[in-house]
Amino acid sequence: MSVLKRYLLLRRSDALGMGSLVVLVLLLPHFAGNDYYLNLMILALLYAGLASSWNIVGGIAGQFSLGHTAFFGIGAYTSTLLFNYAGVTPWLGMLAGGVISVVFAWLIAYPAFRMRGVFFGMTTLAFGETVRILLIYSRKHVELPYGLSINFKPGLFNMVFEDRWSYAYLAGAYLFVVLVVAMMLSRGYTGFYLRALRDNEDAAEAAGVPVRAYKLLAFVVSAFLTSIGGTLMAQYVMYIEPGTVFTISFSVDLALMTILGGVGTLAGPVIGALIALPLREFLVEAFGNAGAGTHQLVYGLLLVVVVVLLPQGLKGGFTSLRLRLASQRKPAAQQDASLPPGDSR
Amino acid sequence: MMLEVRSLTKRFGGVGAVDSVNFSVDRGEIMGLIGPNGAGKTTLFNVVAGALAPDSGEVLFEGSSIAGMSSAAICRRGLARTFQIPQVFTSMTVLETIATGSLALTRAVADALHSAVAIAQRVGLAGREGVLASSLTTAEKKRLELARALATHPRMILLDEVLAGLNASEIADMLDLIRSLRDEGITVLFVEHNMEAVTGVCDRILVLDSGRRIALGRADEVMANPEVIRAYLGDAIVEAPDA
Amino acid sequence: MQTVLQLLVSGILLGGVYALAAVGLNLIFGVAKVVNFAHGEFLMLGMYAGYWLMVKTGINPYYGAPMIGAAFFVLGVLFYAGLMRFTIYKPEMTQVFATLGLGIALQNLALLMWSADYRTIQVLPAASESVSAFGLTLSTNRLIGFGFAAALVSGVLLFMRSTFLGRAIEAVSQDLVAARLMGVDPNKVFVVTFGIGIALTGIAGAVLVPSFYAFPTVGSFFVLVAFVVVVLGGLGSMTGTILGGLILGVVESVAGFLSPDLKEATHFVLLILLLAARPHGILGVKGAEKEALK
Repeated sequence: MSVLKRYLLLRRSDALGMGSLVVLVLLLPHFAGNDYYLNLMILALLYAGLASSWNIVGGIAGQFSLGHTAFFGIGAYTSTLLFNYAGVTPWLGMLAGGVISVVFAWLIAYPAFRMRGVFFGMTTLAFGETVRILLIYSRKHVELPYGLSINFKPGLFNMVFEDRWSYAYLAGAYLFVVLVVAMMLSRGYTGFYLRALRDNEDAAEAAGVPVRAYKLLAFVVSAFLTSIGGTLMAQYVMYIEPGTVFTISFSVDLALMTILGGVGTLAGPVIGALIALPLREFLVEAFGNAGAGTHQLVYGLLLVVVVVLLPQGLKGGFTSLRLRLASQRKPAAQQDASLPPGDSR
Repeated sequence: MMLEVRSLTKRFGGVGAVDSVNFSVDRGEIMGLIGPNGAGKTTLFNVVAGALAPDSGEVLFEGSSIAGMSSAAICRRGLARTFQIPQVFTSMTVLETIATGSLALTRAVADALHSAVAIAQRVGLAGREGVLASSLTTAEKKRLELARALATHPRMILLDEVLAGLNASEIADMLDLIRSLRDEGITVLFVEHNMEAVTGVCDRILVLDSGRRIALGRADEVMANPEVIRAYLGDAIVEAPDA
Repeated sequence: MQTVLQLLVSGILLGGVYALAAVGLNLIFGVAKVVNFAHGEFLMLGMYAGYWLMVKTGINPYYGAPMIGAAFFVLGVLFYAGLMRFTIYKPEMTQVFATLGLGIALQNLALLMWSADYRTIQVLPAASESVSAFGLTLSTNRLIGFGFAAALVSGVLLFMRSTFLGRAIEAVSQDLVAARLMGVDPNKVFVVTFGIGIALTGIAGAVLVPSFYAFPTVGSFFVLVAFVVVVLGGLGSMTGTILGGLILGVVESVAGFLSPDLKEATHFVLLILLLAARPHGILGVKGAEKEALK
């Protein structure tokens, strides 16, 4: 059946696209000229991984969580606390943080997933804030400094490195893993179900899709991966405090980067992060002297413009451009057959 | 009996949208569910389909209770439904939409797509497989609804005003399609406003008014039933349409 | 017993404040089904408006409220015509992020123009800052705020019930398609709704500045409060907003008494519990939280 073959063929080119993306990502740090750019690149790769993790539940499953900072913070705090107070290697602490995040995700999923759209977003937002407040409150009962530092003792066991290159590879590897997981979830049986519940929950239910179960799956996987990113960030920045790892703007940023690049696509969050981070730096440089808050002002306005003009993100804009060019070349009669199926790439 | 509904009640606020309704649908029959606006047809439909939980009463599908089960679980039991306003998967093509239903029976995407092709043909959407579902015409969308439901291999199907918005020839085609469902052994319960269609294709008709069942029987009996006539037309006396 | 009564009364007065902050949000959220994440920033602008009005002209915000209301009505119309109009038919998240972005922009605009200093004004002479009644102490400013909340809500309800435009708004909030079929122009309705909604918010901010500090990020605090109140009271129900505000005020008052640190968390926990158990709020229509998204 030609219809079938075309569908499967596209999947092969998707894999090609993914593969080249991955190679690019691993090679990217080599293009950095000096420490400044290398730092930017490391952060960009980390955020690309974090945004891709968010995209699993926010884009592929279509559930816009605005509370992912909770998982990020839990990851950062768990591994750091375990390392500082119990000498546990961050490699294991990372997994412990992931597990705790999964538990929290499970807990919040019950009330949150009864909501749709904006209400779901608000619930997750409230959840993120609650975790932050709980942490701050716990300091009344447990002896904990406001901010935690990680001692600079380089070594693989400590997940602390002297040269930035190792961090770059770590971040790159993280992004790779997240992308592979995202790809697995967005293909096949699971991919269909997630797409269905994203597009139309009622229709999905009526088609026999166990909607609750799949939403939970996406949420939990996303929480785990975000948490890992939290540990990595803590290990790179070497200092964490509630004000840096439990912020609403972090959650918003993940969603924003993904929207910028193309929500629901695999490349979207990566494109978004790779653009947003240098852009932010640029804004600070260009407007940093103009008065406190100017660069944020510009950022806010840009956000508005991007979201209104490009709801499908850069990738979506690129795709519709490609479609428009393709349909202009083929005669109308053949158009049905040439329309590429669906959206999730 | 494929479907048995006993003393089903569903209230919204103080209003009894469905009030102690009893009926059963036999295997292989086509039953129509009619009634004036506000009679409770859609509510009854939604309770049976699992979109709403009943306040009291029982819904038995093939002997086991399905009241309060989720729509997805009910669908997997063999009772499928369509929506009055076609619910489209916005990013999917016709083929992918149908395949989503087929995935209820197989985990292999390739197999699901294969079955989907066959089903697309069955409902008359052959040649439109690659089209985005949201670009279809109303009539085609209705067929797609049906196709998605059929993909789950149901033994009974609930159709919600499947003829709304169709012109005369599209209606005729859809009725043929429904008859062919019965030929395959699928039981059909459908909510409809179009009297001609209902009397032409249904074995039995269930009539609701203000949440209560006022008639259940063969088309000609029901149409001549004075209570039914009064429910629709008030107290004016009118000849029943030719069956 | 005295303590309990005091807590209750303080809570109710606080609740009036919260209801005031939420009234504008409820109208816009309930009618246009628009999520305005910049709501807090409009409140913040209202506070600054009240502040500057007093500082520059000596008119206190209680008297200046109508003026500020008119100015913010225009602002609301601009908000709709300049931005929200383009997001109405786009995916829901577009609204969220567009208003979020606007909020960030407004916050930083305020920072730029007026610095991060905390501002408040002394409207009443210190002696009459609080009033004693039945052995309880009541803050006069909050009392007045409560009065404004009641007046504004009653005013809106009256408007909705007795004018054609008001009923058109009500119609659009219940069923947009049906309203259009009846000849209601949704654009006009939205323009007025946003105008009134932002006007209410502006007045709310102005009336609040005697009892709360104004600073660029004060909006973030109020926006969550406003959302909780709206959800608690029931999406789209004006009376619900008052009720929701009162309940939140009392709950927070009591929680603050029992454990000052967890006071902040009450809003969030309440919101989560609410959304889990009764998302349509107290007076909302069941399923409204799902309808709002279609």
